[in-house]
Amino acid sequence: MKKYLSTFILTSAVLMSNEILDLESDFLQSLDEVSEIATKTKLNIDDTPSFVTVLHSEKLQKLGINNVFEALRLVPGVQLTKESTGVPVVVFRGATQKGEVKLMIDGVNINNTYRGSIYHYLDFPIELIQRIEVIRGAGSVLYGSGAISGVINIITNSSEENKNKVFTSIGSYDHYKSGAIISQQIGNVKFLSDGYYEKDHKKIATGPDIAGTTGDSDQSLTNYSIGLNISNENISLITRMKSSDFGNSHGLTNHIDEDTDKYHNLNQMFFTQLKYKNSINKDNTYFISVGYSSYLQNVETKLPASIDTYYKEDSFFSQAQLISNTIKNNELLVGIEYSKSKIKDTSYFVNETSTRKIFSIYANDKYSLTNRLDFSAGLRYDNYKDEMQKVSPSFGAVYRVSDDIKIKTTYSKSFRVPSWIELKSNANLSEEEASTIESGVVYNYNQNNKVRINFFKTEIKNVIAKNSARIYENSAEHNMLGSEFEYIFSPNIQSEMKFSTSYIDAKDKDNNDIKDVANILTNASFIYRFDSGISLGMLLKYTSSIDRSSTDKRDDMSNSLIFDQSISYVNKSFTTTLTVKDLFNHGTNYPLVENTYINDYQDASRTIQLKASWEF
Amino acid sequence: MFRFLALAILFSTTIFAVSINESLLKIHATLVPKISLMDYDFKTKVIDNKIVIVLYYEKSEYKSAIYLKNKIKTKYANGINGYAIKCKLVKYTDAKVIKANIIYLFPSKKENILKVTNFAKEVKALTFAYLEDYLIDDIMISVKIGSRVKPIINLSSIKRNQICLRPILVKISEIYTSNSDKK
Repeated sequence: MKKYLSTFILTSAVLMSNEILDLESDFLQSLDEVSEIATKTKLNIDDTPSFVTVLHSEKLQKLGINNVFEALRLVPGVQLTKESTGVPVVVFRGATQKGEVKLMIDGVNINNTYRGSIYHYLDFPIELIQRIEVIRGAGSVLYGSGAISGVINIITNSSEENKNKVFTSIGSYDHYKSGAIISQQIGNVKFLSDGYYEKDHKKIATGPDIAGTTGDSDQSLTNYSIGLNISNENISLITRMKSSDFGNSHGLTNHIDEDTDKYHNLNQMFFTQLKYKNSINKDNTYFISVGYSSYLQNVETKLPASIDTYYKEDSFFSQAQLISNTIKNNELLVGIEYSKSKIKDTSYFVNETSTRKIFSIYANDKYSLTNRLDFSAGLRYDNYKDEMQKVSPSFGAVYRVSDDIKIKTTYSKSFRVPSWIELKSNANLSEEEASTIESGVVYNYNQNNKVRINFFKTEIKNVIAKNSARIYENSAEHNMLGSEFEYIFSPNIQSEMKFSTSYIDAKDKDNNDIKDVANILTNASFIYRFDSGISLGMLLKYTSSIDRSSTDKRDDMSNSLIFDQSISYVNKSFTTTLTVKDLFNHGTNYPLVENTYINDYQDASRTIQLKASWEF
Repeated sequence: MFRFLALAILFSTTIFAVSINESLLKIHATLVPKISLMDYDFKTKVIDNKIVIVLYYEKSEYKSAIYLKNKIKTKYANGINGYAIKCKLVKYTDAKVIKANIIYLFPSKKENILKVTNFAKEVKALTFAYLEDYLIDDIMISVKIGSRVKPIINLSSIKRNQICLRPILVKISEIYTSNSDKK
């Protein structure tokens, strides 16, 4: 009996200790899992060497933000402008050339080979977005050509969340937008789809144009997109089609279009990507992806004679990536990419047989020397078949002085290959090369009182720009020196205010100011909510005066201060928001080149919009 | 306009504006049920073979509360350690003594937080804060996001509430020290 009892006690003890061990190891495994979520969703941006801003859609909607273009204004160092054709342009840290910013949606590259442009996705609606991750500065080691001054990754709701939502809005200029996100899970397979349709009839009095004519600039738009994401634990298929059709605004050659029903700029993009991800063991995960994208542009405009152009390109792309934690205190990322782009059809401008094949291999290692000190080093090799080879290194470090203070520094080289439109102009162009060094401090008094400040210096050599004969050449050199400051403050734990300001000194090689760059950009936002479910969102945007070129006889563009006010009401899953943009009717102007429009590009002044959404 | 902004800041002491981060909720959805198992006495606190998680929220954060509840339900559809999981949503205005293994607190006024932590004391439930800053208000556990995610625990609150935690949680967690403790 005694023997039986002791065996029972011993067995019970072993079983119990096994249960405790299981419980403990399971908990530790969960911490690894959530650390991955924190890294993937950029919650721990202050602990990485890069200078990153994450914009969350929920917050942006409370501030009355409509789309990606408007949201990017909240990123320190980002200036928004528009070309005479109405094409939106995002200028990071004074880098004004096309293709110097990389844009991705759910990890799929959007920049086309034609011009390197991204504008056809900048009107993507905020309602379909979960967050926008923005790397300020260079990112060529992981993202290749074009990641000179910034990398934007849009994460859609339909790529991550099981969410059902319908939304609609109406506003000034007969603006109308409606859309939905629908999700369904069958077994372990998730089906998520989203779509929207948007239209307005925005026409704004402008002129005189280059010919001395006054009239209405056609800034109307018709946009839509449909996305589908099918996934299970290991495999995902993302497909999206997007169309943006907008008026030529102030004209391709700065002539006001007479027939606004006829002239327009249509951009359509389709992509699909199949991805397989898995783990070799708990320390090694990998993914393999293949995809296809096509881009089409059709411009009908007045030059001043009427013209009708079209262009279409196809791209195939593939990628494999391994993340390994096998070596203690190291997180190694190794990747390989291959892509091929080809002009499929065009009316003019570029060589119809153009094909670009790119092979790339890269590695980046993060090494934690101590609990307080992390180093990172990366290297990328790109081979543009028959064109060029490029090696891009990067180095970074984060030192945690204490839990509250972190010091970061990075050095990286990046590049941009000429677009096809630039090569058509001059076949001998070589790539732009940039080197960036930056350092910064994060002071985190607590979770709601945080200061970030950083200083950067970027040199871009071989800048591809048009000369006086309007031929592209590698003549220019741009040097940017600047600082960015952010302060997130809650007077009490329930209130939030965010203030950011940046100073940019952008010079060419002769030490002249680069035209159209604002030196100071400031944003202040306040969101607060009453118990009743009503919340107020306020957004103040300041842009300092903008320098003209040395030959321009006009005064510099004066500074601007725009204030947007939103009021929202939330009742369970229903939200409605009323926003008045530019409440004090100051008006938004963008600089246009000399001898075109004396009064520059005139955009809308005060506008009103009413939005409603329901999640279910 | 600046007068208007100044007024807004002045009055912001009486209003709410913390934006709830869904990525953070995803992390909490994974950890909160597992943290409830770190209570040595969790088996005696289980109700009808279910681990009960009470989520306290402000009326205006209903969507976030539903989001967290759904995330927990999806993540632990088959329960945890042989126990089913039951999530109860309760508005701060309806706060009362509710038997629970763990109580999750979304941001709210200090008086609401203190009211709920007092109720938690009566049923010896663990309390988990959306933000670590709330640990100052007698909440026991939250998480800290750095290069890695780690729990942060308010040991004095845990002792005051006579809760015994498994050593592993104490070992891997950062220990919360309030500013008054530092002095």
